[in-house]
Amino acid sequence: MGEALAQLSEHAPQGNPLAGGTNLVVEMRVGRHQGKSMVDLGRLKELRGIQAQNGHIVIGGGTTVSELLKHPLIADHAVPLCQSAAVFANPLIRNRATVAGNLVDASPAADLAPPLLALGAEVELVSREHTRWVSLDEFMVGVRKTLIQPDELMRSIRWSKPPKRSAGAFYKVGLRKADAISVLSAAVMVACDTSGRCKLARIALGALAPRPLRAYEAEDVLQGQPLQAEGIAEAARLAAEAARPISDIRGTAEYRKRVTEVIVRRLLVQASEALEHP
Amino acid sequence: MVSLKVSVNGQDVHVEVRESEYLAEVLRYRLGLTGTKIGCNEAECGVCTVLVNGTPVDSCVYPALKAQGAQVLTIEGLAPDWRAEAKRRKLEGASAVDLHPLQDAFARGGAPQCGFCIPGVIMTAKALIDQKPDPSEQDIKVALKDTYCRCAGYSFITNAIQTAAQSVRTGRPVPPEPFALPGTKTPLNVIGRPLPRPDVVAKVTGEAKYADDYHFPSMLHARTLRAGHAHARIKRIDTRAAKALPGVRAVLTAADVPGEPNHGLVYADWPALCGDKVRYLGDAVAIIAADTREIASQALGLIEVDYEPLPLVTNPVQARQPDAPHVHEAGNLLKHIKVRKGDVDQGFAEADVVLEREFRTPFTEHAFLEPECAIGIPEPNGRLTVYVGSQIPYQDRAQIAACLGEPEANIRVIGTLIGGGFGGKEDIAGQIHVALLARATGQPVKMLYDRHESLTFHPKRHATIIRIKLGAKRDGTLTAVQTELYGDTGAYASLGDKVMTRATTHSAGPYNVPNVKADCYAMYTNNPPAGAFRGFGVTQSAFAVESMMDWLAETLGVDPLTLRRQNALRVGTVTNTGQLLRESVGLVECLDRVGAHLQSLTCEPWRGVVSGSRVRAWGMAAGYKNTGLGGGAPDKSAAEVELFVDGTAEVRTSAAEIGQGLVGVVAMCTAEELGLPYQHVKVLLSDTDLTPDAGPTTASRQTYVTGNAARLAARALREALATTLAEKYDQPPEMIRFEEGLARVNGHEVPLGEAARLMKREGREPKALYTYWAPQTQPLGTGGDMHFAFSYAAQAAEVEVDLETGQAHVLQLVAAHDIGRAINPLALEGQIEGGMIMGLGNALTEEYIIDDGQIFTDYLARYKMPSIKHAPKVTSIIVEDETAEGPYGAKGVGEIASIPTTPAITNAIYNACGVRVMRLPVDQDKLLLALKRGDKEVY
Repeated sequence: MGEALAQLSEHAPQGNPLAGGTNLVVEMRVGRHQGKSMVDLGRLKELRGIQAQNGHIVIGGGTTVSELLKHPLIADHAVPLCQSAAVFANPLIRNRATVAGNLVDASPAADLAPPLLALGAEVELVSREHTRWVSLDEFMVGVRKTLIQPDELMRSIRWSKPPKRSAGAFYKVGLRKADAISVLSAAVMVACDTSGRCKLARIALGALAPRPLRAYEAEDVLQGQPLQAEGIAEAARLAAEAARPISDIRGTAEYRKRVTEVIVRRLLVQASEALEHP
Repeated sequence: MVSLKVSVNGQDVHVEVRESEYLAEVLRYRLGLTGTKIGCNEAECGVCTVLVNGTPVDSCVYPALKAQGAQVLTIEGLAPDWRAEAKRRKLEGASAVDLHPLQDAFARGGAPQCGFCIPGVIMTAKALIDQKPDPSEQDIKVALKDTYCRCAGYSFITNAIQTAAQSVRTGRPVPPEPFALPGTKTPLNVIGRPLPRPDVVAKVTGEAKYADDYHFPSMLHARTLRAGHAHARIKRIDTRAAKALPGVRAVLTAADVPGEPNHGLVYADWPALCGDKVRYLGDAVAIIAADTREIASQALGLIEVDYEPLPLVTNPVQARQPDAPHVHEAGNLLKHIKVRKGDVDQGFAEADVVLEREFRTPFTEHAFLEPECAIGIPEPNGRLTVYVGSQIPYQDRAQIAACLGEPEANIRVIGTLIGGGFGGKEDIAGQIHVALLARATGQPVKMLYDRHESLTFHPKRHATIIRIKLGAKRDGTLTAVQTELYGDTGAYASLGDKVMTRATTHSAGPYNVPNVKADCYAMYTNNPPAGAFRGFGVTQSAFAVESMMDWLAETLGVDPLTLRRQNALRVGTVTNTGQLLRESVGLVECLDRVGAHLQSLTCEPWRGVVSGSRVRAWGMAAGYKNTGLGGGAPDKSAAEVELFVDGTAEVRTSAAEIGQGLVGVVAMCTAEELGLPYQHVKVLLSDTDLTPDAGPTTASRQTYVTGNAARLAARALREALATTLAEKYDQPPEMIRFEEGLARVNGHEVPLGEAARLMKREGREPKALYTYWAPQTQPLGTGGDMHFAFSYAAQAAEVEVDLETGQAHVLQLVAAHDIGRAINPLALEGQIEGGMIMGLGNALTEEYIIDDGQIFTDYLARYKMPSIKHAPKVTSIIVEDETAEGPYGAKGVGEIASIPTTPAITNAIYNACGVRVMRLPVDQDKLLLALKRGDKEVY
């Protein structure tokens, strides 16, 4: 780990950490990243592992998507992340692609970002000199832009264990000509108190803005209310309003906005049903 | 160079590699393990899958050095791996095991078609059953998502994996016939039986060799400089810097083509190398041969070309305008194709209902998983050999010879196995280039396209605009159909003339229409060329006419199946081109059997069934497709059958095996006629020095013409044998029976090997060459028989539409195909399911996107084709309305299966949600918008 950080520091800004290589290598094969030095992180044990620590779930940045899919802590404490991992690219890519890689790549359509946003995740960035934690929401700045510095690595990602009486869900809309990247995706996480009122709501959207984002206003209308059709519909409407999609070859902005509302509503209904019938 | 130490298939390997090499390249090119294929270099297609420490990875993007110290398992190591396990588990007959149960089940179950994807699929499946010893269908769909099989034998793959998993679990061998097939006629000795294709073991072990799997000593590697401009004049080409690069052996431009400057299957309009101007992005401007592929690639960047951009022609309607820029000097019209029957004005006047609409279809891409590859080898005797996976080896030879300015006899074309063609490997790709470079350097030269180049370069399915007007009486009788078609044939003719002719002649559907008028304009543009693609134009026009038939049924308030049945072609009716159908028209039976099956599922198939925001409904369509070239083209094929003294036979012909199973068809015909066991017949395909010309592998023709050639060659040989035996054993030849590898003659049982020896002793060779001429056809416009046979189909699709998102999914397909006679029900079913799934892609996901001459779809990631997760349940019904002249009654099947699928799906979408799809592929975005707006049609 020390050597990897030293290498990155030495080669900055031309050093490029290489983990699963599912984005980087494919880009290299079409002629990008020429003149850069790849720092292979593939064998760093420090970047692996999924654990419960002090009320948090902590996963190493080098955890593969397949590992997420297989781990009971993820199945128990990160339902939307597990659902996202299940539909992430394909099994071969899942065997290679890492969580940190997906987040650092900072595609607006990164599939793991919405569920981790919904879980309220933070990321740990380390360099030879320092270690810092930032919330994932702050970490993501824009299209292919994050707070990570050229000499830093994303060592781990963590989130608080969701409380009792919580539920979450993820869905992505794909199956469209021209591209395998999702047209839009969304994740929700809700928790209720004993009286059935919502005490926590997070709604996150992917491929609907320059970076994956939280729909805060939509979350606010759910706070303190029972999770019922009317509130859910309003939250879904506000989530669609928060979306700032573009029109591209994969879908029009209008379509994305309209379907965002449908998907967020369905996810909230699904989550509320899961709360009623745990 | 760095040292890589890795265990491959249980053996420690030390190999020097460059840091930039990938595992697939090391396996294939340094270790010679060519069972691992490369399809895309983008981690999109999965054909390169190997196991690294037990985990399946895409080896094409797996940096080789990441495998340092790892255990790598490839297809070549699978059987030894299983032998070791079988021994450890003390399984019965362990030492005798030749194949892993997965390989065995894939082979017996008919999963491989072209076979190119199979090593990757099997390795992915191996990892799955290691994890899940009893995988469900869903487990398989998850594990194989994006491990593509373009022949789309997904149900065969699923069955094979489950069968193999059971064998691994229990240690019991794979059953000989793993699963059920649709019912077909009682088989003969060989014909009609579900036999594994002769090349199947090679295809499941990785031994099957495709063009890039060949390597020759001192072989150079070639690359092509592509224009990168859609329409431009070439002002200057400077190759000096490229030539000066160490390791570069030759750089050739148009000036270096010694013979004919152009090639082309119908019209020689396609420059081997462009000298004065380029007409699409993928045009070849220069070719390079160098010591390595890397040097050749580097040299590409050193060639300087000055272009003067010219105005673009981007669509066929613009192309036809008088002031449009000219793509070719003679103008942009490739051909105006006309069909005339009766008097349409009168037909519309007689109609109670007249409907008219315009439909659009996009360019689509074959996406055969094996990118094009050719190897040219100068021979010591001055001749030149070209290895290539091509659908038309003899025409390759003619075209190579013409460009080289050499006699055809100088050239030998050896056809390798083909990793999928679907029409996309009929035109010249690298064949001429490697010949030129081999001549220039005196060394063997390999030209391998990467996926990006393949997508950019090769001809597509024609994009079309089809306007159709249809008139009918209140009782449903069609009175007139008028169509106007525009076909975008792109920069070069390729087979555009023939494809659009087929689109036009079939544009009124498989119906008895008294008055027909069709006009088609096949236009040159600055888009990539368009040529042959399974369905050959009929895929496009079927979408238009079958959509209209459903609309007519709705307008008249009649059942869509009944309406089609009422108007269906049948014996005694006359086609649009004036051909009286005298026999073998199984359309009505297809319709009836699909109808009966739907009845067994639901009494109101066309009515939507709502469940929350989702609606399900069925839709249907019919179709027909000619077998053979037709239109007056001489259609012949030759085959030679030789009997050896060991009692085996060989059949030789130059038909191409592109996954359709032709190699099995000719072996079966030969075995049937000679009374030999199927396993005793070997097949040698596609070597212009050794195998006679079978014509192009196109137009669903090979089973018919080459099946007949093999059948009649074998029959001629049998008759010759009978003459010999008759004399020796004193019995009339017609009394001699040939069965089970024996001739039964006058109480004797003479093994055929012995019979061959007797013939030789008489000074006669025990072989026979037969050139089969298919029945004469007539050119379009002259009336009479334009084609010698047609296949027919009726298909129904159950579709679910999500009314809130516009997403549409196909849940199941029911289909009946009249293919005359099932020669091999196993291969037939593979063709049918694969064709239908290709049709599903055509309906829902596939579009090759070009914007203003610029290609968007230049990576495989940008082209969605159906994967196993899209593959619905298929119920297949075989109708065998025999054609007298076909081999044992057989007609073609290659194309018909993919023709009605698209309109069956779009009609189901209408039945589910009330919106008609007027443009392909179905766009969930636009469909949702139409639903919200209450529009009845979506463009």
